[in-house]
Amino acid sequence: MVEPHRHSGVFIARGKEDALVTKNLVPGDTVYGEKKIEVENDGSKIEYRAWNPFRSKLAAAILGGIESIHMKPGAKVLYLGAASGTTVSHVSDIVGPEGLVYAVEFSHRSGRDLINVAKKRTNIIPIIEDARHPHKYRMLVGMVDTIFADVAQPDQVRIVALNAHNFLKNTGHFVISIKASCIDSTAKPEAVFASEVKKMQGEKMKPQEQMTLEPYERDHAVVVGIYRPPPKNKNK
Amino acid sequence: MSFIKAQKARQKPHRERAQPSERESLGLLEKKKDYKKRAINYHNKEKKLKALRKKAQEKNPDEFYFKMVHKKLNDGLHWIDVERPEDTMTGAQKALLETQDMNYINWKLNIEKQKVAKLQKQIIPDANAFPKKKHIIFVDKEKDKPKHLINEQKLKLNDNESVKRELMKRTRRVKELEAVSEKMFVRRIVSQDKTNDRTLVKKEDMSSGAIYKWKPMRKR
Repeated sequence: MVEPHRHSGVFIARGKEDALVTKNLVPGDTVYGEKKIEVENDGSKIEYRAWNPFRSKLAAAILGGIESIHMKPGAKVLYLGAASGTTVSHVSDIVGPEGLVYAVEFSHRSGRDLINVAKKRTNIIPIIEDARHPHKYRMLVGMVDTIFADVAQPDQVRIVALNAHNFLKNTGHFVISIKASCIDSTAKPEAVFASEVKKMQGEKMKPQEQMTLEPYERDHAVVVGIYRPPPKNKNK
Repeated sequence: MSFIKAQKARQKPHRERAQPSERESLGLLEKKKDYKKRAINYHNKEKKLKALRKKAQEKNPDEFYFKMVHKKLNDGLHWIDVERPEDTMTGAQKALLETQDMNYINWKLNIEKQKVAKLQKQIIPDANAFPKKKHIIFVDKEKDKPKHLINEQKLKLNDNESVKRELMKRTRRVKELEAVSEKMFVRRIVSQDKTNDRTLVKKEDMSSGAIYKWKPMRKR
């Protein structure tokens, strides 16, 4: 039994134990040895892939009950810090064949795995570059609806802002996963999250929501916000 | 006929039943072939004892045996000079074999440790051992505040019983492997020690290797 989740493109598989799943874009193919669930629907088979919240911060955020991930079928997403492409593969499932995922990863080692994932999933565009220098891949990336960032760097907000100024459309959204110990290991996590949110406000990025990822991750938070929000109507 | 055989290659290999976890304290589950070995061994011993008993009964006390001449008495024990089996390995070869064993154990230990770390990540700790999830929504004005958060679709998640059980087994195995590795390490050092200037601090036991203390020596 598979039923759609509140976020479009994400599904819940009901069973002895429930699982978060996405519809497999390439039926028969798994990316990192995750479970597959096949459902027969009026003679046609649909395949879903289980999404492990312990391996993906986005899945942990969805299970935690975040209001919106701003990724839906047909959306264009810039994914910073794609690593081996495990979460990226699920994002590519969500946006579907009409959508696009630009996956940026600096490390060549995990970039190799990412490219292998992208070979099978045509809606992923792998970019092996430093996300600090968006001008290096500006000719590959068009305007995007959403930026997802999981780069675990002390200047994470600056990196996201640089990419947002280059590629994010007005009133587009950003989803940033923050690991407190990567930014300042001496300060308290709450203080780190607050200072990061403060930094965003200086970059025309307006945070809308912040959530910690317990119990899946320790001292991690996801911040969702809007870039260049529309001006407030003063007459109202 | 050959078609059936080809099909057989694809079928799932049949695996033997293992000892159920509630009877684990009794050791490995005995199979027919194990029983066979045990039974044959038992009957062999019986036969040997029977033969010895018969020999003792029929012994002639006046008869001469050559062992009466060769045997020596040493601290109240009878000794016969038995030829030692010939050594087929040099010291270096033995040492190499030992290091290979040790490398294998350490390799397995490493694998097991990595698996334990992976499993530990999957376990959801007790809710009170973990700080609670915090969800903040930023709003401009007081009236924009949502009345209540959106009703989340409830998920019945893995209670990770099976993960916990596997983790327990693997941690136990890590401990065993660590003990073996430690024992091998100490034994090797002792066998290579030519100074013999060491005193035993603690004997080898079930969980750890022996501990020796060497005389402090100045290194040049």
